[in-house]
Amino acid sequence: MSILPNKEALQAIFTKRQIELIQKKLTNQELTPTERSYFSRSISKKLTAIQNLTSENKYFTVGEEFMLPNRKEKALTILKKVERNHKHQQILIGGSFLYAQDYQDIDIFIISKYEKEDRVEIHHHFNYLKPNAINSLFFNSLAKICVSNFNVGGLTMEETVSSAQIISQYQEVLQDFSNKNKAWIKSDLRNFVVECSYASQKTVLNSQQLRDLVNNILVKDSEKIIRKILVNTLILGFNTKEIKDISSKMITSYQELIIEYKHPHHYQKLIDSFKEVLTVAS
Amino acid sequence: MQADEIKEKIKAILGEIEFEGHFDLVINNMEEKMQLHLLEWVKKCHDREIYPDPSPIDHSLLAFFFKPNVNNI
Repeated sequence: MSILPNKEALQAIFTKRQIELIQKKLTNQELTPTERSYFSRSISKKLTAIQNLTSENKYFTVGEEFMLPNRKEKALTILKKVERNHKHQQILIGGSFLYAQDYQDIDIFIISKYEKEDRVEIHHHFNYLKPNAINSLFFNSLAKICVSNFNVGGLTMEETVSSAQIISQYQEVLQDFSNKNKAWIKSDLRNFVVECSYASQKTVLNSQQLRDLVNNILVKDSEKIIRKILVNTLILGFNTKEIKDISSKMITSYQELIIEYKHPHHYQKLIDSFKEVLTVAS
Repeated sequence: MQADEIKEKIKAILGEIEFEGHFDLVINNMEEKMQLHLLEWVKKCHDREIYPDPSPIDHSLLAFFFKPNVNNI
């Protein structure tokens, strides 16, 4: 028995298979990985477009297939409450609250042209972003699973990722590992992974994919994995000549630093990473 | 401490240096404990206890990462 109304109208937009999957989703039946992927690729976009055309609905949901049951409704309730104190402002709720059983805070992002400090109030983390942050890689990733009071469907990515940015992020992550800096490692690794993925494959990972990837890297041979990510990103994402040139210069600089500073182990790891880039690029 | 006071203390450690515009904003939003932590870090950089990385853009520049145990700076 179908719980979907006006099946005739639906058939004009969706195929029989797509209607079956929507039905499955609405009745809280679990989708297989293939079905989830198909839903995300072929159905979600149509649903978002229909939602956006419905003028009386001023709230938007993206990546619903990744959300846990009831979290979308809870997020909407929070969004409406936050709106009362932030009238006429663009607000988005994203992050692990929507898709993970265990989460630290509920991340609430408010677009504000005024400089405001972030704050946490009873597990609600208020993050204030400037309007230009909307077109960043970070925001595009965040907006792939979210509930908002503005349409994030038409966001454009204005940020470009350079080889220098990738190398700087790699340097920061390796410093975190060398200094056993647990306060920073996750966020630095997240930045590194999201930028590498975009630079090498033009893919913007959603926050759940990012979280899973980072957690996986951290429980395995982390430094070896991130070195492979660096090598692959530089090789696949940038011009070979540019990469050979920058890697040779980095090796020379680190060879100078290894004499001047007493941290041979840390610097040797960086030298080896860039040597691997040169080997693969040759 | 105000940004100007911190700048003077940093200059006393490193000598004459220039600060970019963002510096004041960051310092004025920092708690005093963190400001003191920053000054200790500057001293450690000067004493070569903290190891830098070369900038991938300009290899004559070195980058020192300030990473205290909280990441809400």
